[in-house]
Amino acid sequence: MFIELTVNERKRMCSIEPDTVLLDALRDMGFTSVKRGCGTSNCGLCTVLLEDEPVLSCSVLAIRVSGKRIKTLEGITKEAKQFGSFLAEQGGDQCGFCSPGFIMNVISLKKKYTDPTDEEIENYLLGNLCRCTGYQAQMRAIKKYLEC
Amino acid sequence: MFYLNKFTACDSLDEAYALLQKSRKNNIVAGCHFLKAGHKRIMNGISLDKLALDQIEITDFTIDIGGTSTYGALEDSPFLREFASGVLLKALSHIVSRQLRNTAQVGASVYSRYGFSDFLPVLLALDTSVVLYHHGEMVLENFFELPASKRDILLQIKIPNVEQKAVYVQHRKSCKDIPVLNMCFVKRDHEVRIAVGARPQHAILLPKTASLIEQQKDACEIKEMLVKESTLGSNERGSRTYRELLLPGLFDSAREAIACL
Repeated sequence: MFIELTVNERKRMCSIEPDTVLLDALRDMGFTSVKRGCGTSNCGLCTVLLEDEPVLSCSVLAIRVSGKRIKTLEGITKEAKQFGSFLAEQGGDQCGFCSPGFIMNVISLKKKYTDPTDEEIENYLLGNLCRCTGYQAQMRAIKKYLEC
Repeated sequence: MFYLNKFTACDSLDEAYALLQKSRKNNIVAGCHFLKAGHKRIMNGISLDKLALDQIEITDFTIDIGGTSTYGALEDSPFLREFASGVLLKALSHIVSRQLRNTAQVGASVYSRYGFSDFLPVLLALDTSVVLYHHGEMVLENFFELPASKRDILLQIKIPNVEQKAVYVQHRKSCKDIPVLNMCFVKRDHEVRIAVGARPQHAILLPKTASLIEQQKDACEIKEMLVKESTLGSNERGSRTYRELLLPGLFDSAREAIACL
């Protein structure tokens, strides 16, 4: 079946099965910033913004988001580049595999909170696992990014 | 991953209910997180997305939460942040991640009576009712008695909007794991309601223990009743003995916390 998805403000037709998840649909369309990680809704690598809210694309049926607005890292390159530079500056980016999902969630955090506490930042980003950095460098990068 | 042969976004509750009754292989699909953990083959996935069941309404008497409301929507409600010492959101904050909570639906979690639920003990202790399409409104304890074979659609949950203090305590092996044991302790004037969950079966109320607390009985007597009434069991997260040792500790934490509110 065919569905219409609005990805990064552009309408696209997509051929899917009823049980195709959004992650697969997006990757098939070439949005390869959306990474496949655990596949069990735990790691946050596949985070995209659905109607401006972060969701795990590995757990959302593509058919359900027909007609809704989806944003991937490819659609927010300016913000991503800006936050990415803070990550690099603070040594918060090593293998980089978790970065797309992490950046999506940080951008969502910035929209939701004007002046988040450390606890609020930690809670919001609890679902983004990183096996390289130990999170301290990322925390520094987030704080710098939120200040600007 | 589950398998879905067909997906139907229903335009009416009648249509959804008829499809649900038509075959046991037809299932309502909600957040899909639990479904994803298995390999279930679903003939027709019934979606309630078009039926506007995601409303959260706060009246003078109840808090009405639609079945397809997400945990994320509850977290964004300023009223729920304060209601009953913020206990609902404190319980939700333990559930995996914000991204998951943005799609996990209240109705699915309640209707499926998940034993590991962080949410159910809180709802039980807050004296919540459920509104089912076919079976009507009933309190959560009665809903748990309803056989799983009676397939219905959960439209709404109703939480009494009353002044109360509440505490949620839990024990888990790591922060994003499912709980080994959890408990909600609610105090309204002199009335106490306690619910224990992750036993590992679904949450239950402990009326006898609550009654002993109200009568200000001896702590040893209360704890003895607490363990007896909770009917704990074993699963891969912990044995019955382990849970029986944990429970009095959780109970003490809850009592201390509620005294400080």
